[in-house]
Amino acid sequence: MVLRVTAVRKGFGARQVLRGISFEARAGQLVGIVGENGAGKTTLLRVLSGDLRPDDGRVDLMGTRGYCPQHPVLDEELTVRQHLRLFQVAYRLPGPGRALQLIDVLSAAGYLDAPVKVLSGGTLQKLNLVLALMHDPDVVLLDEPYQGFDWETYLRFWDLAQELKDRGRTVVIVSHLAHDTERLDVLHHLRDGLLEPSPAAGTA
Amino acid sequence: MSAYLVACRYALLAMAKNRLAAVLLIAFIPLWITVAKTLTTPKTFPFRLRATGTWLRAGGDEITMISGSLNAVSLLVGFLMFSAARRTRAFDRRLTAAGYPRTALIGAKLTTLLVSSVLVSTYATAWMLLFWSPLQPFLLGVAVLAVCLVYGAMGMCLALFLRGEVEGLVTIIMTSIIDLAPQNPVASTTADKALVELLPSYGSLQTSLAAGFTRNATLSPLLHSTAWLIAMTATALAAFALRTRTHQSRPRPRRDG
Repeated sequence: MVLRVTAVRKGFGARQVLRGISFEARAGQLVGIVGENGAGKTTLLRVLSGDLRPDDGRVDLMGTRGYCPQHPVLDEELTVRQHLRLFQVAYRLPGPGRALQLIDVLSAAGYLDAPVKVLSGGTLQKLNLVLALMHDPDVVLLDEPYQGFDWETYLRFWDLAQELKDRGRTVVIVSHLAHDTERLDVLHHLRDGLLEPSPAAGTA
Repeated sequence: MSAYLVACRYALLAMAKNRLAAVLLIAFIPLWITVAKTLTTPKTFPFRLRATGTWLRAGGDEITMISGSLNAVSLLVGFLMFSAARRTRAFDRRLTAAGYPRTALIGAKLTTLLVSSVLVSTYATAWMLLFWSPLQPFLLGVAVLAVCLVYGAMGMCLALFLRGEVEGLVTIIMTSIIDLAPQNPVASTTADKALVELLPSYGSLQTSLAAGFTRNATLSPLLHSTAWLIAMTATALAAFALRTRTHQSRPRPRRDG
């Protein structure tokens, strides 16, 4: 197993958001987690990414991880290229090669030297996604990754997800919409702070 | 080293794009100094320089210009650093979670504080020197630099709990007024009370007055500035270190291509 989540609990004050989440994901699996607004999807992903400490339970992850937060977390004064440079340093990559490739796949190459503050929501999300993928992590954690994408980009996103899966990467996608579930290997429903495996999931 | 240089370069570039701060620098500082020097009375006032205990006489216009300059530069650097710290709060967290060395980011923040303080204080001191010949111009520059550093660090601290840019700006303005007004020997008779020694700009105002009207290299008030600077920088950096913690169990290596 590349990712093993065991009895994870997380609460904020009196409100218990995650009440004992357990699931596993293998290499080369596309895992979906869907749930209504406020179901705790983002909290779960933040725990998986190490952004939040669980109150109880544990997360075991083998290899490197890439995390794409729900809202683009960027520096509005810097350009796209400057973001790539900073994350190249963060991930200790020898060059920006894969990042530029991803930018190209997502049709954002025209914005490389534009400051982030002038970009549209969809383009911000593209950069947000590229920053999570550019070091080719073993486990990719994506929180509503295609919000703001036009149809073309949405389709390219799924091609990209498929390509990651084919290369043995584990992709966990959180979404409030349960469409395109046939593209996933496993689909979990998050309800009342617990996960329910869905029989609707594809071939696991 | 490369991580520090990249972070530093981008932090300075981003800061240079702060248009409001640029307008304040170019227009507000010379305006304040000009108004203070030309519209206030040149009549001389006796006052006791608290740092040395000596009695001095100085023109009201010169004292007001010193106080006004310290006020203007503290607002500007405080706002600049507040604005930068607020803007990068979430982003720094993401960068460090991705593996960016925290020491490099801390180094970049301190460099930004130093560079902006040196630039602003040099500019403001040069404007003062256009109107006036203090007895120790270099010491005057050091005093202005000290207040820039103190308020820059304060701006970083305020960004820990103030969310909006306007909130930060108003708080810095109010703090600077409350800080400087009771110390002004012209405007206030409370300037001689012991409590003024606790104010953030005490060291800079005392040193500026000493630089302007004495030939003594009075450095002891700058210890107050140093204490403020260390306390606020340490608070801001400790909060940065706390905020950028991640809770990942150490990832086990898995690389098979």
